[in-house]
Amino acid sequence: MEHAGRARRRAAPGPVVAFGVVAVLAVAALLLRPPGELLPAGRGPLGEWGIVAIGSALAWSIAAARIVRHLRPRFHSYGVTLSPGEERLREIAAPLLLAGTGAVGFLALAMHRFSSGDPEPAPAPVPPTPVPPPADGAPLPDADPGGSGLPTLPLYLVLGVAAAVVVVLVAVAVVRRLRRLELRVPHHPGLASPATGEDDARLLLSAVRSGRRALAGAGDARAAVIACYAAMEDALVASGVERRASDSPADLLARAVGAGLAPGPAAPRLAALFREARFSSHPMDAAHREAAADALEEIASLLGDAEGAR
Amino acid sequence: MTTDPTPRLRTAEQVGEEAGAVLREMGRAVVGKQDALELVMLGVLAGGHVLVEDLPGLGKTLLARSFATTLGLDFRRIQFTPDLLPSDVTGTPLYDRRTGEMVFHPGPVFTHLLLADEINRTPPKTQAALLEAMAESQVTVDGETRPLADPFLVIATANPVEYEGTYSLPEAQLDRFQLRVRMGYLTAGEERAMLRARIDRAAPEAVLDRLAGPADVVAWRAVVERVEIDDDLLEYAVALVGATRDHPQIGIGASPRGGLALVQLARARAVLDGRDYVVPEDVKSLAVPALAHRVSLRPELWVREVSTDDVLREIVDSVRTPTTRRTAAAVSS
Repeated sequence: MEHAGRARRRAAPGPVVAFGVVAVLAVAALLLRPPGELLPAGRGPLGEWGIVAIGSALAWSIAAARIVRHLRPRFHSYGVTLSPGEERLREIAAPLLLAGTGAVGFLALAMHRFSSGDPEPAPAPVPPTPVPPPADGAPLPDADPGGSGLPTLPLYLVLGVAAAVVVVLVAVAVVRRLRRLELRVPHHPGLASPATGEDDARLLLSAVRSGRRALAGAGDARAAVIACYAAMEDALVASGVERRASDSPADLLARAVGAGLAPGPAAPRLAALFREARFSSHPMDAAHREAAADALEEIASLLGDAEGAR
Repeated sequence: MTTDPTPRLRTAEQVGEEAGAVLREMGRAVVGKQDALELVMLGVLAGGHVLVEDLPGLGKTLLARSFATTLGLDFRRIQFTPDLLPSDVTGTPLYDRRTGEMVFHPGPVFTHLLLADEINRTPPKTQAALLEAMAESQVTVDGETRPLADPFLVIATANPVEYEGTYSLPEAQLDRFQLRVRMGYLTAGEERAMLRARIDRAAPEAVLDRLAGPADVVAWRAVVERVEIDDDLLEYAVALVGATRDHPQIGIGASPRGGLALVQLARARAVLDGRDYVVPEDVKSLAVPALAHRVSLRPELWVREVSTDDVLREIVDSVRTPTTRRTAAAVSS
């Protein structure tokens, strides 16, 4: 089944991604840790920009939660299902990850020992390691007072560029993933279609013309009736009615009525003709073709009026 | 309406009108349950048995009795209890002192319409005796096989909320019911209309007219057998059944018998609508009642109160219906 396949495709890279994120975080923590022992007691890795970092972490948590809450119901209509285990993992992991980003910033602040003016007791002097004098009499390099040889501004520029690159990479990965799952962000239910009224009218006219062409031909009446219904479907879609793969003719018409496009009694009449032509072996003749043509003209004029009224 | 024992040959349109008249007549007694009545009528037309599952007091017994009255069917009722024996259902041979022979006394299963009330209150042995009769339309007692009446229809009721002293039907036995119907509560307006109707008629129950007979039901079923179904719709039914086997939340999917039931019910719906061909709406609208009771959810979903109906609805919303134009394979064949 299609969505089961989707579920399998979704599940496969999950552990790899999680492992990758943990590994990157671990390496970053090792690289960014202050000099000294591996687990320094409360010196804090954020320095004087700690408040900014913590604020960013909190802002990120809140923004991510709001975006997820806003988009989830819109993606839900695609019916992408998770297995019970995956669903449980998602329910546990989502709040933990979001809360974790805020918690890291908070803990960094809480564990940081702010200098209060009282000089801290100096650490026990470490006997210097004897350094052999240079043979050529060149001066020794200065000791690094800040624990890092990089000046502050370029460091932040590098970090900013790295953050921008990460954001772009994540955005590209998300878009590619959505495309692979054949998903796109659905329109907000309350928003109008992005197509202009002129585009809609052109699409509608084109659909109706294709139906008329099918009816004008001297071919099979059954094929003409089916083509006529297909033209009505296209016309409804051009007018903004959503068409789903699991729709029956009745579903599409119900959605058209729900969208305020009531194509009158002609639409059910044409749908009934279509059902007979498509799913029965009844002989179809010129009377069926004419009935379909009348219905299509009626629908076209109604939809045209509706477009004009917009 | 014809009730003669030698019924004339009917068209699907005629049967649709006759069955519609029966439904309208029953609507006088069973208020606001048109969907449930239609589903049970589909079971009657398709030649299957119906499980009505819902809370007490929602009119399950009234529904079964109304069908028996309007269809002119011989009606028997068994109140299933923990001490009911298989012979209480099928019948038993008793010694006749005058003739000195063992004479078979038929049980309540020898009828046209049997109401098996609260079938989940009796032990599996007695349930199995009834379900065997349902599957084979015959009863074997003391080595002698006796055919049941034609038509033979079982409407079984089950109360899903009581667990103390009940014996849930296993999946294999649920599979023998062609469809499961849920009654549901009435809306406020319907409930008010029901109370008003009771006051106006000054009697506990409405007296219904008989509009058909057993021979009519047999003739209706013959019309259902002549309903055609396109290959694309058979593929659609197969896709729906297959989807229940692949769904991650379902442990045991629908059986091939489920597919047969779905197609037969879709043909019955076509007849009820006056058509002799099946359309996608027939299959789609019956997927939940025909398949939901045949699947088992994974155990971890039991505590989350996810119902099989919900999962089936999700499947119906995700499986592709036949395309507007015929596929190339269908056209070439």
